[in-house]
Order: sequence, then structure tokens, then C-alpha cells
Amino acid sequence: MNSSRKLLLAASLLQLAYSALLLYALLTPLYRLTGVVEGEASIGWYSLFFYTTRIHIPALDTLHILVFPVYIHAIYMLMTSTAGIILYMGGLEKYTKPIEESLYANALVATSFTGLLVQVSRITRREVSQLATDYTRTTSAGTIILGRASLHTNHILEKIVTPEILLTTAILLLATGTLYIISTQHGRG
Amino acid sequence: MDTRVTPSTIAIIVILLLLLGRLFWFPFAFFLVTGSSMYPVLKTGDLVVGEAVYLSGYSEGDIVVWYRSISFGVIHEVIEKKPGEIVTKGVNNPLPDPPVSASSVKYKIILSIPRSVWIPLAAAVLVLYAYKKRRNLVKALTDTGSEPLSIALWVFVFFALSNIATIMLSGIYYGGYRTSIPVPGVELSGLKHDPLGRHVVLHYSLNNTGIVGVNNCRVEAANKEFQCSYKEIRPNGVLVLGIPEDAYLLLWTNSNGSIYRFRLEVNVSLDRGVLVADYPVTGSWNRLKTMKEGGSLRIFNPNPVPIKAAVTIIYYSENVFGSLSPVNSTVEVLSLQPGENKTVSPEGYEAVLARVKIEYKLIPTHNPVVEVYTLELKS
Repeated sequence: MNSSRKLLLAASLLQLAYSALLLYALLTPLYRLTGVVEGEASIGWYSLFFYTTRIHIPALDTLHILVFPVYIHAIYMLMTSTAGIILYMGGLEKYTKPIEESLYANALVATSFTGLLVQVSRITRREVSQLATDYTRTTSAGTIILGRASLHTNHILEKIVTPEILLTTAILLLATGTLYIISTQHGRG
Repeated sequence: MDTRVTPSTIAIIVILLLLLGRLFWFPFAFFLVTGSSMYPVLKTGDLVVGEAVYLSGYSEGDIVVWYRSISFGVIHEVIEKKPGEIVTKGVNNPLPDPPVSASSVKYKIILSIPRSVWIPLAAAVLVLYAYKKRRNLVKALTDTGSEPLSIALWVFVFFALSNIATIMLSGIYYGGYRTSIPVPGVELSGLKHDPLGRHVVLHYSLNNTGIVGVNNCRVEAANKEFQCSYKEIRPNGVLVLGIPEDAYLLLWTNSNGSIYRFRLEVNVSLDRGVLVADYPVTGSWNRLKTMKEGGSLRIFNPNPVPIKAAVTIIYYSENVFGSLSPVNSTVEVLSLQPGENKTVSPEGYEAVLARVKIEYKLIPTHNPVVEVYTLELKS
């Protein structure tokens, strides 16, 4: 039981960190554009303006609906992992089972969302980097010089949303959850 | 295990079926709007209800859902319906979509629920449902005797279903539509050179922008640069740029033909960006225009440079034999400014007729132009 409690704490801490990381990745701007196109884009939202006119990116509009369950899951994971830590500290055995099972389910869901997150970050980069260009145009009137838009990347966040790190974290979560379930089943049996 | 079919179970099944409408072409289906092509009629996040076209058909002006494949669908307005195919357009798109086969149209939109209505409503229903079932929830959470992994399964199923639901709802794919950036459009719709007014009028067609100022305007004539004599911005994208007289004089002194050319370089400030342009402008040196007015001759200089004309008048009177003979002559040099009229009025010497010879250099390097006019004088 003691090792089971330690695993509960380990799984809860890991998932707390993972959910915080996920929310950070969803909410913090991954890309910032300066110049004629100004604004920011994260993997969960974007706000970009060409001079004062808002730019609509159809691909990102669709993607940001697809990541809606990821938001809910991150919040749910934050809540269950916090509850897991409270249970460990307070010893509220009565509620341990739903939390431990939720942690296990969270690990499964996190793994299944990894591919989606990686793809969303790739498409976001593709769409946003297309805007970072020189807006000089030649027409019958002459050359219209509008200036450039430059792309600035949040390098810390970019490293977080690489497939390797996301997948490793998700596998770690899954391994912890599996170990935890095995240990509790043995403990109860 | 309780196997009763409750109203809430039926409601969940109906909602799931509506979400899956795009896969099975049910009579009705839910769709979630993404993108801005239908703005302001439909906004991202709005929930729309589609009625299968096999139930009631559709006509021009209806908003329909068409699919090229399960992953490529569009919610747009029908603007043209032809046998076997239709043309649709997003109300916010500048151009219509390419024609699609009529068989790909699956649903007609009959109801749209704004996101500001359906999201709070759905949240309220969920909260109410959870409140109503609170005892069951607490029991499920504290029941240590339940099946192993049953909660884990439900959590996983919930997220799997919510993931499927968002894919089903937002499966309307706009990937075929590129991000449209409201880049200013400036086209030259007209260039008019008025040599006498010594200006060039530029007409621009402006889209998404306006002219704010002229930063620079230069005239390059005969390998020499001049600043424009004036710059005027008129409404509706019209610019009037003054060409200095010195530029015309230099062109004239260096001219070796009746056509002259210069370049007009402009740098115009737009409210979005800068327009840099270089326009070739041509003109021609024209002969002095003359017009007889009774016993007078009116001479007009249509050129942008002053022209000096030597005017020789030979007066004739009738001699005793009744024939005409010259009695006197005068020579005068007229300096005609651009656009200036001068009148030559031979008088005196009891002359009945005058021959007026005008001699001037239209092009400095060419032979002079000589024109002779005969005027009948009142005796």
C-alpha cells in the first residue's frame, strides 16, 4: 500500500506538470509576427492583423475547434492530479479509486492526443510562416511597397511541442498509470 | 445492471446521430461553422442544422452543405443552379467556388444557432443534469466495490466521444480556401498629359487604401532631373503633378524630332504602404495655330515652351493699272508664351491686301517653318 501511495503521488505530480505544460502550450503564443502583419498565434488561438484589419486563417479556425477537447482534458487532468496530491497528503482513502482510475484514463487520453497536438503545431507553423513574407506587389500603377512581416518563435515552447518530447511524456504518463493500476490491483487482490 | 431506456439516453443517442449525419446522410444533421467565408451570416462556432436535400430540395439563395469527400465539405450559399451542377459562394469571399456536381449537395441549412446561445445553453443543461444526478455521481465515486477500471473506461470514452464529436462537427474543411489578406490594390486607370497646363494627371483605381501624400515627384528629361513644380491630391485617387517649364525648355532645345519624351518618377504615400512608380510620358511639338478673323490673323502657341515668330507683313495697294503692287512692309518678332494668342492686324498704307509671312523654329535643330497668309483689308 505504501508503494501504491507513492505511485499515486508520482502519477499525480507528473500529470500536474503535464497538464500545466499542456495549458501553457495551448495558451502561450508560439509565434509572434511583427511588421505589416502584427499579432500572435498559439496552437489554441491566434490574433493577427494586417495593419488594422483582422486576418482570418480558415485552417486555424478549424484546428482550434479540434483542440477544444484537449483544453477540457488538460483542465480535467489538472483537477484530478491536484485531487491525487490532496488525497496523498490527506489520506482520504474513500476517494482514491476514482482518482487513480482517472489518472490512468488521463494517461491514455494524453497519448491519443499527442498526434493531434503535433499536427496542430505543424499546421500552425505552416500557416503562420506563410504570412511572414515581403508584401511588395507590382501592378499597372507601379510597385506597392507594404513592407515585410517577420516571424518570431517562442523557442522554449517550440521545443515542448516537438513529437519526441510530447510522445516521451505521454509514454511516461501511460507507464506510470499502468504501474499504478497493476500495483493497486495486486494490493486489493 | 439497469437497462431501462431513459429520456436522457434517447436524447444522447439522437444528438450522436445528428453529429454523425455527415457520414450517413440522415434526414437532419448538425454542423459547426468554422472559418469566416460566410461572415457575417454565419460565424465560427455557430451550430447549424441541415435538412437533407432529398427531403425538400434547395434553390438559389439557400445555404447548403456540399461534400467532395467526407473530409472536404463546404457550407456556402448557392448562387447558380444549373442542370447537374451548382455554383456556390461564401458571402465573405470575393469570388465564387468552382462548380460542383449537384449530387455532392447533401444538406440545406434550415436553422443556425449562434455560439453565444448554444454553448451556454449546453453548459447549463450539463450542469443541471449533473446536479440532478449528484447522488448517483457521489455514489459512483465512492463505491469501492464497482468493477475495476469502470471509471477509467468512462473517462476515456468521454474524451474519445468528445474528440469524435469535434471532428464530426468541424469536418467542414476549408483547406481549399487560402488565407485572404486585405492587401491594398492600386492600379493605374489613366494618365493624361496636358502640355499647356504643364501637368500630368494620374488616375488610380484604389482598393483597400487611399492616397495620403506625395513624398517625391521628379521629372527626368534629356538626362537631367527636375522636381515637379506642384503636387495636388484630388478625390477618388487622382493626382495632378506639375511639370516644370525648364524641363520642357530642355526637351525643346535637345529635341531632334516632333515627339518628345520624359519620365515621371513618383513616390506616393498610401494609408497602407508606399507606391513607387516611373511613368514614361510623351508629347509632340505642334505648329502654331492660325485663324483668319476678317482682316486680322490670330496666332496661337499650343506648345509648353515660348515660340518666337518673325512676322513679315507686305502691304499691297492697287496701282493706276488696277493691279496690286507692294507699297510697304514691316517685320515684327512675336514672342508667344505657351497657350498665348496674339493677333496680327495689318493696317494703313491704303493697302487693300496684306501678305503675312510667319517664320519660326518649331524644332531648334530643324529648318524654320514658314507659313504665308493673305488677308484682304478694308480700304
